[in-house]
Amino acid sequence: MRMVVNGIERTIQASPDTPLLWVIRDECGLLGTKYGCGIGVCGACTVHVDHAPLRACILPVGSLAGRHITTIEGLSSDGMHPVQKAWVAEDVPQCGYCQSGQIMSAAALLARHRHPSDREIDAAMAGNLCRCGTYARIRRAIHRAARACDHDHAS
Amino acid sequence: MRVSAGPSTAPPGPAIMITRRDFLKVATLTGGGFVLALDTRVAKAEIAPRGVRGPSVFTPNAWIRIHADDTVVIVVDKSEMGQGVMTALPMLVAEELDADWERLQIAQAPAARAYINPALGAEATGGSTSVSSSYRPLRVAGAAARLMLLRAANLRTGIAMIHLHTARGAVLLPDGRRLPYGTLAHAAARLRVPREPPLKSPRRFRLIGRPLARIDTPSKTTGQAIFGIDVQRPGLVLGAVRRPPTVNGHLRDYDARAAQGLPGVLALARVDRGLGVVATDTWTAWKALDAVRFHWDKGDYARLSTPAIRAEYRQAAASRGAIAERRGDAHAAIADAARVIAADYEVPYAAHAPLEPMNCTAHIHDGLCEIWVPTQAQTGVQITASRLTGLPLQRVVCHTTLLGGGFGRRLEQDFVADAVTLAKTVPNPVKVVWSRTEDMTHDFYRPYSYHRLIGALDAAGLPIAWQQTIVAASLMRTRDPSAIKNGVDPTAVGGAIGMPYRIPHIEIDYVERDTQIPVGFWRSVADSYTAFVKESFIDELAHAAGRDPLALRRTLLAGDHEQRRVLDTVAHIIGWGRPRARGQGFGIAVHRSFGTSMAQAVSVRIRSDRLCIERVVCVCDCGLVVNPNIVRAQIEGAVAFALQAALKGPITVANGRIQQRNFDSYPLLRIDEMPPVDIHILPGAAPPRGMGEPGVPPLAPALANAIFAASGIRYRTLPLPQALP
Repeated sequence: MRMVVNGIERTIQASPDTPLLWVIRDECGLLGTKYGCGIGVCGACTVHVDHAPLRACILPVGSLAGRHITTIEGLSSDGMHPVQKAWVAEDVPQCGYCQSGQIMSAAALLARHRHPSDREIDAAMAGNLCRCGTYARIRRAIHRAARACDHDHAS
Repeated sequence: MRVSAGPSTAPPGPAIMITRRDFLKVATLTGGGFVLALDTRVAKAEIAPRGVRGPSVFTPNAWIRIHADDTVVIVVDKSEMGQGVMTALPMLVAEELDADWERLQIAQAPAARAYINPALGAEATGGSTSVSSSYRPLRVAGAAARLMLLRAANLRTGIAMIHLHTARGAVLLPDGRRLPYGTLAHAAARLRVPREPPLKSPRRFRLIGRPLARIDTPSKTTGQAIFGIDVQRPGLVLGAVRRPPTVNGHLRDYDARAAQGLPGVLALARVDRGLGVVATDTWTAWKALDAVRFHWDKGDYARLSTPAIRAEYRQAAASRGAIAERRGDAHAAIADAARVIAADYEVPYAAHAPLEPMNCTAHIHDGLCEIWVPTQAQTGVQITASRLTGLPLQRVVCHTTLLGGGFGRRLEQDFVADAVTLAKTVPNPVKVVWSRTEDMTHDFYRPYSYHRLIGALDAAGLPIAWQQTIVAASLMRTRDPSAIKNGVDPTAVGGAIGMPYRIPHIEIDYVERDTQIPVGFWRSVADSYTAFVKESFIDELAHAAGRDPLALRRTLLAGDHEQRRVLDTVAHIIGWGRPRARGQGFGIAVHRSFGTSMAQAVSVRIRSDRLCIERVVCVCDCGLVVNPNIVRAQIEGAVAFALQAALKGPITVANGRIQQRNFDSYPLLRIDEMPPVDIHILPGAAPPRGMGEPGVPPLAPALANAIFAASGIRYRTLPLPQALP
């Protein structure tokens, strides 16, 4: 089967029941997307499937023929997506393991809501667990990215 | 700031773990060390290593390497698990070296004797010791190198050393010319290393004390950071393991015919107590384990259950334990007291649950065992691999990757043993990745503890006696029984003994009860439960005496100005004594652990029987602060870690099985459950003290005390309820 990963069309060899996560990591060699739970509750494997943030660990790759997948590596070519810049400015990560998934969820949130409230941030991000407790900085970084997007639109 | 290939410096002097010559040989064989690809641009440039050691490389010690092309590399010998050592430790070296912070390269140390943590006696990261134990040695390393570079400049120019200065990676001459350190590397390498170079006065610090951004952050926002689970090697194959469902069960027999028929399955082999499989990819390895028919020997503890453990511990609390501490005669004082208050407390098992599951990559080749691993214990990795392969320690090469969380779990060696065991079955490098269920059900849990307390008040309502019996498993029983003295394991009673409150009669007893449930070091260790008990029960004594809990603590802390200061500050900020809204309550707690005094105050409100945590205030004195940005992050993280254990979990056992198997049954704290946290760091005198752990202990008691203030209900068991009657 074929699908598009970060803009590149790929022929996937893995059996159709293989979760997208392991295809991304083991077959495509894109290691920024992480395994955390395998049951879709921690969010470490969040990727965009046709722009929707989904949990790659519970998506059989066979169900994704022709779909467009974006991983953290495809979010920007240079790490300069407004969410990534805000993450650096707020020095969000501690261990960093969950942060690819956090950033992918945050980017999808901002694509839907230009100005999410704290409550909207909580609702969108509650499925992304961080054991190090970087939540306050995540919230600040999302607000910062929202302001930066505004600025870009204004100028 | 860049991150580069591992160091090629040899440890000075005779080495136990790795001799200088062997180390150089190993370093040469393995290409000069591990390329830690924190920054891909640099990593690509560094994959072809420079000369391991040549006349053009100035390596005055194990932490500094200055190349003729002006590349300055600082070696970090602690594991980066989110606590910021990859930034804080280079700051110590760079401060005294007067290096150019923006142009430094950072490399992760290999396992070598030079990197043994003096606070732990092994190359390891734990006990909140990284900055405190490195503060002087790394500054001395930087100062010695700087002095040698100055001397080299003096020899070259003939200008007296008192007229030479250093700044941003160069020696400055009186006429304004700069001699970059790289141009002096060759000459400096020929000089003797000064033993006791003078250190800067803290007043002259230019890096230490600044909230510098973490150097690992950019790579952690682009997916480029390499954790253990991301290790790639030529010919890499993937491994998975399955252990018995019961805590001390064993693999009796298995039928793997169906698994062996799966395409991509390469090998099956027994690992400690279980079975491992090697396959071409992770998913195939996991599917293969699902296809195996296991015959487990459930072990002697197949009927073990949480209620039975509780009953046993409660009974044990009535026995006379080993005396951990005795001041005065608590029993006599209690017998004569005006008033006696008794209470039992319980703190459950807890899992580390780092988000990156246990994993390790091992490759046995060319008479070496090479390991890539997110570990807190490099010396332990060497010992483990040496034991399993028969290779001498110096033939075990340990490359430390980034750690996706540690919290004490990655001090253990079980996952290292899995990788080495499976690496023996194939010529390829094998990366073993545990499933979340293996990780959750085969942790080394924070021990369950049961506490019986008796407090006595005099006629004025002041505590005159405190008697506490602690029942808990011993962490040292299986690790180093010689640490257990007179029946007391110090790691089980830390934070209970040496109580700062001036109470004339104190007795702390310890009853060791092992249950076969594996136990380990969990962020803040015994303090995670002793502080809950101490700070809750002192609150109980205050209320029993009709005294204000803050005022009683202040009175009893008369001799401890540091704890009184953090307590007073936290009380001021939360507005202690201010009129409260309906359903609102303030709780307070203070505790010193790992050298640091930490007070926390929690404001809660109970609305429609639901607990709402409005605010957490933290005030600490941790000595000199090397990087306030990182210290704040550690406290924010500690509060989240402590809140999770105070409100969620616990780990329970039924029929010998750990019942929590994933984050659905062992939930972590979510963003919508994180309260606002106010952090105030009081200026402290040098040297720095612990920071990774001290933020954990006071949270649970401050929260329980706040719930009592709001509801009148005293909870003595964790986790605390989120719905109140």
